[in-house]
Amino acid sequence: MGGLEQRSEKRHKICHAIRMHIIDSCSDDSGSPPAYDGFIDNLSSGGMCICLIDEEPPLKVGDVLGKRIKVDVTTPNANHPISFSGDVSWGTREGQPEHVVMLGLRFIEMTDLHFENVVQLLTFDTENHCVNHREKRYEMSHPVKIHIVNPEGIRSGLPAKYNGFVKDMSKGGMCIYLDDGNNPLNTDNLLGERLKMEMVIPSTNEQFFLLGEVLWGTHEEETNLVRIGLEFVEMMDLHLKNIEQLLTVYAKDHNMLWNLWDNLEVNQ
Amino acid sequence: MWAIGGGKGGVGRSVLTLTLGFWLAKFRKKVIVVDADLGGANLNILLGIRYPSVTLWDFINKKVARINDVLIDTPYENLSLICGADDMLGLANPKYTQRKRFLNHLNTLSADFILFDLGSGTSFNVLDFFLYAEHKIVVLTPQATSVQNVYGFIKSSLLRHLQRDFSRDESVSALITRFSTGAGEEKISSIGELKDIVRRVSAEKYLKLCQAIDSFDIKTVVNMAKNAKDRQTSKIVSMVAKRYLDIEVTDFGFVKYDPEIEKSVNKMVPFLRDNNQSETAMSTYAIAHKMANGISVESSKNVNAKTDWLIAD
Repeated sequence: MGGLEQRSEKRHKICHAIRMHIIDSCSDDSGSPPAYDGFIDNLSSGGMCICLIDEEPPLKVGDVLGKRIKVDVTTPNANHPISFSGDVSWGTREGQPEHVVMLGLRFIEMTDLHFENVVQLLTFDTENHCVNHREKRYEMSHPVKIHIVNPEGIRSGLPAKYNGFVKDMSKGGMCIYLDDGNNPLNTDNLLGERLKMEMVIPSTNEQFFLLGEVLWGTHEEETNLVRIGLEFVEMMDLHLKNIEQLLTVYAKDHNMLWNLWDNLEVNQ
Repeated sequence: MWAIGGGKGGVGRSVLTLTLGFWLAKFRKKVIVVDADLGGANLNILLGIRYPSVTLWDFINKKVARINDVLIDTPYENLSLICGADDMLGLANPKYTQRKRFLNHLNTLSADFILFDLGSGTSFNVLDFFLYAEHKIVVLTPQATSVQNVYGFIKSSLLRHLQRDFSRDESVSALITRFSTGAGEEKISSIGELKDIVRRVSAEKYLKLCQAIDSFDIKTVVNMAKNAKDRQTSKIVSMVAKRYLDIEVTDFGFVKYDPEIEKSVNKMVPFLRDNNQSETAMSTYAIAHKMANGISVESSKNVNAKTDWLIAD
């Protein structure tokens, strides 16, 4: 694994399906170089780390060290596969599942196209991770009062009101932390529940509310708080306007700083 | 090399620097504490050295040839000091060449840890000394003014760092200035927006910018924390820095408030000399322990061995 410590570029953890070809080898019956499927584990402008599945034919790490290989990456937003070429600088099976080998690759072509390809992959990955968040999310720490509005939920034993704070928010939904204090919540019971969130816009002191359905929930041991993700429902123009107003408050660094400062006490 | 900075005066940088130096020396590390608070030097007073025989002024004014010649032994084993000089006109704002000579000579010092006690404010002198060190700590107190100042200090440091990396690239440099000053028709309000613009201009420049931002590592210490809420103030800074500056700010610990510190300052003895079992002492021990164990001696010696990146005023 000697190549790792020499790398100065920031490595970005991503996950893309690939097909790897050993360029300077022709070992199978058809005369074409052996190819292996796998995925990229991480990527920098100078190289990448790939995991290959080598059920057939088995890949000997020693045989590929120093070899030149080509990696084809297919992404849904590219018309043609993105390709990278480079030399294998290290390889290991240690810590990997059976039939998986990890290789480190140093790129040999540092052209504009190469950099474009790296950026395209990194950009795609960022977008891909946000696939469930159609709208841009804004980090914040804003106090919120939560009411369970579904009578069935209350009948099933959920207390009606909680205090909490918004961790992040988009125009489509939000992630909030709930303090379940003396009324411990079973997050499974919350799934699908409809909640009403009451908030105040600091700049105008105006109170507003939003309705949302719980998509997921988890109990965080570290903070002893319940974290839930909600999707807004029954949205009207007025609700969107209120959200935009609240997001504006957090849209400048010093605004955000002072709002977090104001809310520091609330979040304890 | 560790720089201890922060925008505001009176947040306890000097006491913290000395306390960390004291602990590291106790860990049998060879420590040099440098009073880089040019124009407001007082580390020597905290050590009970009222009249230092030599100061940085002697080196900067070329009365002595080597930085080693202004090293002062302290009453504490493994702990040496380079004094600033607070009453010398001109030392508070050394020229570019003086700064460069000073930083170049620092690399000739033999020590496991060199701790920089920086001055307040965001002058180029302070920022350049701060950026020169491989490890950067900013100190804040749980006060609104301190939180604002520390965020401003981090932002200024990052922008200086980026300006340095792109000093020969007019287009990116102009964009950084646009973000810094808020000028231009289309305002750039965050590093994320800056990155987007650069990405559209050139993929290579974009990657270089990302690497420059990713390499900017900074740690916070909350000083004078009285309760759990006070300790959380660093989170405010890290959240805003993450959102607007696209950097991770590491919470490096806190120092519990202790009125004994003020008494020690007035007695001109290091706080730990008489209070090394107190809660405050233990909180600084935890920070020093992280410093001692987080990096190897070799890596701390070979940092930023060149001063080519210094931007001439």
